[in-house]
Amino acid sequence: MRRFILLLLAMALLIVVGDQVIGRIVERVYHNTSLGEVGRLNRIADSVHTDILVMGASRALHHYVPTIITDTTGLTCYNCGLEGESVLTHYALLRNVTQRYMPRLILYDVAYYFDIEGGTHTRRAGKIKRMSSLQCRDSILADIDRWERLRTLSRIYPYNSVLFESLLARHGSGYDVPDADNGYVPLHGHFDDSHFVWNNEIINGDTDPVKLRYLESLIARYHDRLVVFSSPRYGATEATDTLYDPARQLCQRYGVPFVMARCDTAFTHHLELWDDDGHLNDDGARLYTRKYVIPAVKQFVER
Amino acid sequence: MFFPALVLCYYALPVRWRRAFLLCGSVAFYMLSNPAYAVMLLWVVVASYFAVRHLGSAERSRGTLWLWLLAVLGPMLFFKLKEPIINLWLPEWAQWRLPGLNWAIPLGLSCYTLQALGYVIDVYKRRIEPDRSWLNHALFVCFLPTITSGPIQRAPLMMPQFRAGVATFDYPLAVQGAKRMVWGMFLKIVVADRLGIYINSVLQHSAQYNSLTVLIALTLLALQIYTDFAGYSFIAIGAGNLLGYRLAENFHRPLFAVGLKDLWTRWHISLSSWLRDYVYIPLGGSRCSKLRSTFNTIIAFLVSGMWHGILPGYLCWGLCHGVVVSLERFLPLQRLKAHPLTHALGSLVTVMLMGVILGFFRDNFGEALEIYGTLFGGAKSLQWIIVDPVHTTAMLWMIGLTLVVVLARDVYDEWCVARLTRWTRGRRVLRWTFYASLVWMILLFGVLDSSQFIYMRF
Repeated sequence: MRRFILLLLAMALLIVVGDQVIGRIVERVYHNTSLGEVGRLNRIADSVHTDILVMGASRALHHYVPTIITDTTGLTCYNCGLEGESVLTHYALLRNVTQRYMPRLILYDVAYYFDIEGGTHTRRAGKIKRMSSLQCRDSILADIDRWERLRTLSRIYPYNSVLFESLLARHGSGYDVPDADNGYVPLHGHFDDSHFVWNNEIINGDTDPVKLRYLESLIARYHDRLVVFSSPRYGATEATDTLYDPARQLCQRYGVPFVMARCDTAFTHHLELWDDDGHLNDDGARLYTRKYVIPAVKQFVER
Repeated sequence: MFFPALVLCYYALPVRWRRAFLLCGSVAFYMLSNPAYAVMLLWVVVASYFAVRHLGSAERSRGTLWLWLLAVLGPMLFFKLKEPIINLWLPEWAQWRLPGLNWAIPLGLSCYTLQALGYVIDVYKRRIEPDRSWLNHALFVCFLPTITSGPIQRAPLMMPQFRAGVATFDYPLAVQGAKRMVWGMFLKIVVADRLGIYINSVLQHSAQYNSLTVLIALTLLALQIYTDFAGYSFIAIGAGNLLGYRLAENFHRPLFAVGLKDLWTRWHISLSSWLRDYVYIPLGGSRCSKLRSTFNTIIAFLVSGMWHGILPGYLCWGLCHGVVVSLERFLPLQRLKAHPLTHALGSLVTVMLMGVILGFFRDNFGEALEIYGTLFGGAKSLQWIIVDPVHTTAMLWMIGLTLVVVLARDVYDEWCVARLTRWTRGRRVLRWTFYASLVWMILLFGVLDSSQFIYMRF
């Protein structure tokens, strides 16, 4: 038995040494990647330095056009939207960026599914655990999963599943399209609503206390330089606006402007502006940026 | 942490307490999933104990055997029949519920029932003497490493080991067990769950894809179920080894099988050999007319399907296997093994065929029909699961790399074991590095929020 335990200890030692060596190599490969989603995250964390940052999930990524904002207001802007990520990731990313510099204005596109709705399925830690320079990383990870802090003692674990993504990153990925504009990725499709079910938004009604806590942290921490938006959704009606009440109430509490554009009929019933039922195409994004984002930015600057 | 703590306590105890401790640990582990399930476990233990005591005596008869078999089978039959009969035919108000009881099949019920059933039949057939110790009997049915999904063990292998007890720590066996557990985890976490991401994306929306994509997904499904269940089996057998017991193997490099008949001698061996010994041979086996033998084969596979669940998908799956295995008798498939190229081709077709039939294994029969509709319904636009080329390529690289490791290991075990074992003897660091690299690959490529083992639902 003693011999067996010694063998296990020797194996554990070998595994730990290998974990540290391989982990360092993978970490270097990851942080030197400049293309694809990995490259985008590295760019945002390490080098973006604009007056305005756009944060949020895919609807932020596809709905806010930095060029229009810069041309109209004179302030530089970068779109930091990330597909399929919740407020936890956006908060962590923002904290990572603001360790380096403080932007003048942050535009946050709140999404019910990712930022409010109950259930842990959208509480992902993948990108957060790879933010090695983020000082509050461990506490965020502990909030997502109490074992996550323990797992990140491994040097390889944070880079689980991303080695090939880093090695194979190249132009033409979802983010590095030729007409990408300061992080904004335009969509050029036209939505076919023949299968669209009207008034059938999935309403869980539950709220996730962890997500709301992070939404509150984000709003409270950056309240003096933040505008929160709820951008349009195809076919949305005011009946479901109450879903956004938690975000609206938080904004009210901290004196943050909340721009509700979700049910604007100039968008919600105009097929030509949509790529799919959740995302505006380039024409729709430009119209939305001019109609809602520019006035909000101007108002902030004048204030 | 449960298992390492259990192993340490197990060996720290005096020898005479070890079996009782292991039984308590096994039941406690089983009750972690749902304490109410222990009722079924207790039923099977008690019914099979009295069955072997009675059938071991002189005044046994075929009638009493059937009564005892029904008694042991009771919970399993109830749960297997509940879905198609109770839920489909009774109105909702009549679908009564017991508080605290999840109406899915209780964990491991199908496996430990078959294990107990085999023991009862063995005693009736006088292949083994009944063990009078209730502790040994309960341990045989509830044995921790196999309680959740098998492999289904046989009394002639296990009972003598329980009787003898584990007096000393068997170092070589424990090392072998630890290696098996690491390999099993690699198969499950790195290979099976990574494949599962691709397969589920395609098969859950098969209508959106073309025939080729669905065929590839089905072929990979065979590999996923192989690596998932073989992974589980390696972990279970390895856990048994760590506790000082030798368990029967469950997989024997099925990727090198040519034909489904050959495959079933290498795939889920504990179930296929159980069906052979307790269903196929009692029906007459192959020592009868060709027609009767075909009938026996189809019945054995239908029982196999029913063991997975009495649902249309599983019955179709069993029927397909029965028909194909019967037809294979007329083909000289084993001649393909004469040449490496024809062997490889034959094995590839066999895995593809297995995968195509596994399409029936989907939870929803409608989904299975949709899969076959796409598979045989002609090509539509070629669509891969993820549009982003970086994600797709990265995932395919990961799948490819991990499958190469699996294939290399199987090739080593099938053909090179003697030569390479001679070479690696004395090169301890090399062997250690291989197992350490499996752990590194688990950390690097594993799906670490992985789902449960596929066979746990049976």
